Formats: sequence, C-alpha cells, structure tokens
Amino acid sequence: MKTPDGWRRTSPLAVLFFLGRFLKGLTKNAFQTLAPLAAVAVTFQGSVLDKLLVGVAAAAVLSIIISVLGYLFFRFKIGEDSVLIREGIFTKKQLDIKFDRIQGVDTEQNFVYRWFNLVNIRFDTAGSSESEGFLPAVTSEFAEDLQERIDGRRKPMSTDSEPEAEGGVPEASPMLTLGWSDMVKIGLSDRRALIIFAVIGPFLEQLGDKANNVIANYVESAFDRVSEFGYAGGSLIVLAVILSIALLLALGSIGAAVLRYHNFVLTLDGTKLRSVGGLLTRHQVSMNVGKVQRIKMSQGIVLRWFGRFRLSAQQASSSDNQKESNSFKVPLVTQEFGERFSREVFAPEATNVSLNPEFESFAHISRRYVVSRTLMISLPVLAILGTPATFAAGPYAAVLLIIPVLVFLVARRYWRRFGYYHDNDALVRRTGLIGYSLQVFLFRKVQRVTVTQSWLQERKDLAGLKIFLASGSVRIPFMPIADANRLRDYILYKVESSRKAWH
Amino acid sequence: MFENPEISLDDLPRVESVSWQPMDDSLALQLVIQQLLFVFIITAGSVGFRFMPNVTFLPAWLHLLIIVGITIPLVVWPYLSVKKRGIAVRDKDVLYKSGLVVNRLTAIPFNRIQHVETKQGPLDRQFETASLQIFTAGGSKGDLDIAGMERDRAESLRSMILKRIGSSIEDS
Repeated sequence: MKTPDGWRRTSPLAVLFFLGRFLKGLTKNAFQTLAPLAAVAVTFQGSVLDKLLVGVAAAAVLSIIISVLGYLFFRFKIGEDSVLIREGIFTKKQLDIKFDRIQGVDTEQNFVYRWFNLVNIRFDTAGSSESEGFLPAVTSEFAEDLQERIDGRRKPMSTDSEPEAEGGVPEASPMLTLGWSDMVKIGLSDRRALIIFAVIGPFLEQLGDKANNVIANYVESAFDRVSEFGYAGGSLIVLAVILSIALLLALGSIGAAVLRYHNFVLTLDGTKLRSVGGLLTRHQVSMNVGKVQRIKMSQGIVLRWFGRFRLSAQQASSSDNQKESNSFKVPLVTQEFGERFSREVFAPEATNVSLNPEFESFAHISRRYVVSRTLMISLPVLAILGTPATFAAGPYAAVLLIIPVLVFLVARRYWRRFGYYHDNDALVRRTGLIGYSLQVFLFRKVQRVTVTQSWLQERKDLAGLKIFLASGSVRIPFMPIADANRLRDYILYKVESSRKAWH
Repeated sequence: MFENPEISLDDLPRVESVSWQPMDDSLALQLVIQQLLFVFIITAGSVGFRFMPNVTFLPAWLHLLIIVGITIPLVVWPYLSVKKRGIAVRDKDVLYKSGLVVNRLTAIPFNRIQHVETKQGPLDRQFETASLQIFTAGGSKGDLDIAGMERDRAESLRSMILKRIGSSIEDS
C-alpha cells in the first residue's frame, strides 16, 4: 500500500472507522443532517412506509459512500520526527503531528479488527484542543513500532538501560486487574446510572398531551387495580414497577461497565502507565508517569459502601475542566492500591505520602470556615425574608429559614472532612461530604500560587491558599496566614530550584 | 561534585520582605473614566426611558439619588483599589498583589511561564500605559493580567521574562 513518495493508505477496513465517525457526527448534529433526508422523504411520492424505507436506504448509501471516500482520501506518512496525515473529501486537511508533542499513543480495537489484528490509533497531544490525529485500522505491530519510535525519540539514552531492550520488551506484570465482581461495582457506582433519570425526566415532559393521556390512563388503571387488590396490593405493584426500572438501569449500567472495562489490566512498565480493557472494543490507554500532574481518588455513596475509590491521573490540559482524554482513569481501586499507585508514579519523590483518609497527620482548616460559609449564603436569604415580598408569601416564607440550617450542617461536615498535609515533595488534600476525595500533587509541578485574605480573615490571621497546577487548581481555605505564607514560599523554592521537566 | 546542603525552612526567601512597585499614577483615573462611561450609559438610558410618553417612572429625586449612589463608589473605588496594587520582580519569580476587600498575592515562577503579552487599549495609548498578561499552563481562567503599568516598564519586563523562559528550561 506504499506509494513511491512514502505516503500510504491504511487497511480497507478503515472504512468501518470512518463509518463510525460519520455516524457519530450525524447524531451530534441530528437536526441539521436529518433535514435534507426529510426533504427527500417529503418530495418522494408514496406511502409513509415507502418514504421511511427510501429515507433509511438513502442514509445508508450516503454513509457508505462517505466512509469509502473517507478511506480513499486518507493518506499518512511517518516522517523523521513527525506523523503526517492528509485527509478530507471536500475540505482537505493536512496534519503534522510532531513526536515531541505526542503525549501518548492510545489504541482501540473493536471485535472485527481483532480478527484482522488491526487497531485504531489516537494521538494524545495535550494542550492542543484542535483536531486530534487518528490513524485508523493499522496493524497492532505497526502501532507498537510507532509507539516505541515516539518514545525512543523522546529518550535517546535507552542504550544503557536493562538488557531487556534487545529481545523485545517483556510483558510487565499487571499492577491491577478487574474481574466480574468489579464490573458490578463499577456499574452500580457509575454516575451515568443517575444521569439516565435526569435525561429521561425532561423528555417525559416534552412528550406532550398524547403521552400525558397515556400516562394518565395508566395511572388510572393502576388506581383501579389498587382498588381491586386493596391499598397494600396496589402499592406493592407500584413498588415492583419502580424496583424493576431500577434493576433494569443497574443492569444497563453494569453492561456498560463490562463493555468498557472487561478484562481490565493496568501495568506500569518503567515510566509508562498502560491500561487495556473492553469487551467488543479493546481500549488501550497509555501515559508517561512524568506527565502526571495530579492524582485524584474519590468515591461517591456507592463506592464508599463498597470501600472503593475511582482514580484518575491527570496530565496538563488546556482548559480548566479536565477533558476525558487528558486523564488516565482507573474505575475501581482500593485505598491501598491508590496509595501504591501514587508512590510508584511519583517515585522517587513523595515516597512517604499516605492516601489514607483516616491518616492522623491531616491538618484541619479553621472553624471559622463554617461560620463564614453559613453567613455568606444565609444572609442573602435572610435579607429576602426581610422584604415586603415575604409578607405576600405569608407563613410559607418560613420554609426559607431551613436554608441556613442546611448550609450550616453541610459546611460543618465539609469542614470536618477537609484536611491537608504535606511532606517535602508533595501535598495531599482530603475533602468529601459523603465519600472521601483525595488528591495529591508534587510541589515542583506547581504553576503559580496565590494567597488571598479578606479583611474579615485578616482580623483572625487566616488566609486562603490557591495552588494552580497544569491540570486545574487546588484550594485550601481558612488556614493560618503564617502557614499559608510559609507553604507558598516553600512551594516557590521547590519550583524555582527544580531542574526537572514538569510535563 | 554533587552537593545537597540542607536548607532550613526559616531561611527560605520570604515574599513579605520584597519592595512593591506601585502601578502607574494614571491607572486610577483610567479606571474612573471606564466607570463613568458605564454610569453615563445607565443615566442616558434611564433618562431616555423617563421621557418616553405614557411611562410613569421613579420620582425625580429617587432617580437622581440612585444615579449618585451608583456613581460615588464607582469613582472612589479605583483610587482605593489602585493603592493596594503592586508588582515585584525577584530573581526567579514575578509577584503581583491586588484587592481592596480581599487581598490577593500571586507568585509566578519564571520557569513556569508559558508566554507573556503586553496589551494596549485606547485609554492605555492615551496615558502611555500597557497591561501585562502572563500565562502559565493549565487553563485560561486564572492567568495574571496586570493592568496599568508604564508602557516602557511593561515592555522591558516582558522582554526580560521572555529571556528567562528560554534560559531556565530544564532537561527532561
């Protein structure tokens, strides 16, 4: 498939990749793309079923043509120090991805590709939010070669490393594997299980009168049954319906976990973190440990119940909210594993860091935090209570009085859970309302530091410390000003005396 | 020969002991002009509304009181706020403090700066000032924007920082 000038095509099976990408784009802009199809359907003379058939057929033919063209117009070339990609049917696009800018070579393999030993490569170029590079349907050997080449480019000193470099890299022993029971836990703890409710809710409202009638009829007949079976029997039926919906959602969520994380294996091979997992499509994600800016370990109510955490290792991102691709995620870990993980990733620094939320060295922030937060949110509420509008609302306005109490309880809980401690290299921050959330980062990777002090804090010698990382910021509010200043000066010293690359 | 002398935490350089350089004298005036522009728009809008037919508006004294009530703090605030601002350049970092109600002190080490820009708006050109923007990695939200520096000082600081960025880059 190589042409004389070095440009080459990928496997014809790349058509599948382009088809997937096209369909994804289609669903993203469903309204714009469906409009021309609707036009075809309207102008076509015939019954509704015929129209539908023609519409679907036209869509299918169109997407196949576009995918085949996408494949035909796709050329790539591996240059001296970069990957060159030319693609595009109408709009030509030329990408020149320098090896230096590539943070990771992630691959995924769906079940068709698995028979043919092919993978899709995605180049992880942190910092640039513009078009990402893809190499669809290349052999997995090629992907490995390319990855080694990119890594080798970055570290030309690999000659004096262990002799293993000669006879091919041996499989590193897995650091973590996830089995079936873990899939259940991941599925049940997935936030998407909750999101489903949030998504379905508004749709239900939009379904209109017809649906309303249907639901009303259903409810009525349910009430009929209630009268038939008696009150207890009726509520049992309702309960059963709710339970089965919940069960279905849980099963769906577990299914999604199996799809994404089946046979999940995490390895740390020298300086490279790598995870492979997935049932139909195998996702391989890798990240260089030197790129890790911060490790986060958190749990919601379900994970807390299981005594587990989800973990993510973040690398530099161009925006404040971490993009999916910018962090290396492990969906289910124990606290001990998280601790081991952070030690090995940050080694040889921060070797004494403990990620145990019960660790006794965590320092509290000032109790003033609770008072300040409660007043800050309650005062506006109380101000509203003082206005004439309150009298119009009558005694119902008293409900607003609950807000300060709730805020106080939440703030006190947050204050109790908030803790931080640091050794010479790293800082650990603990937060949480229901579960715990722990994050750890190296001082020398800090980007900038801000100390803030309001005039109320000034009277109590308190201040807030905000530490900016390349992957977001970490805040410690209401700590003694002397500590905040000392910590800031120490961080600046660590950053300014560091000669190591931070990314 | 490798040396690794122990460093006492109390001997670390302290930010508190630097000498702060104030902003350009014209900055307060510039801010006042900006605020007055805002006041002017509000006044013009509300007065226009007042003289529209068939509109019952606030009584004249209340209208005036509100406009004056908005104007006074907007004019006083810049003079108080600018006094609190200051910039300091040390050997290895830039420090900027600001904030009237909440004091804020930001420190950016040179070896973490991604790039620097100076910017001049219409008022800046009039008063020969510029604002200096310093960018670090990880999000645009908190990037430092130092308004109202003397133009020459802003330019020289910019070129100095640019030189530092190159020299202190580490080997990986």
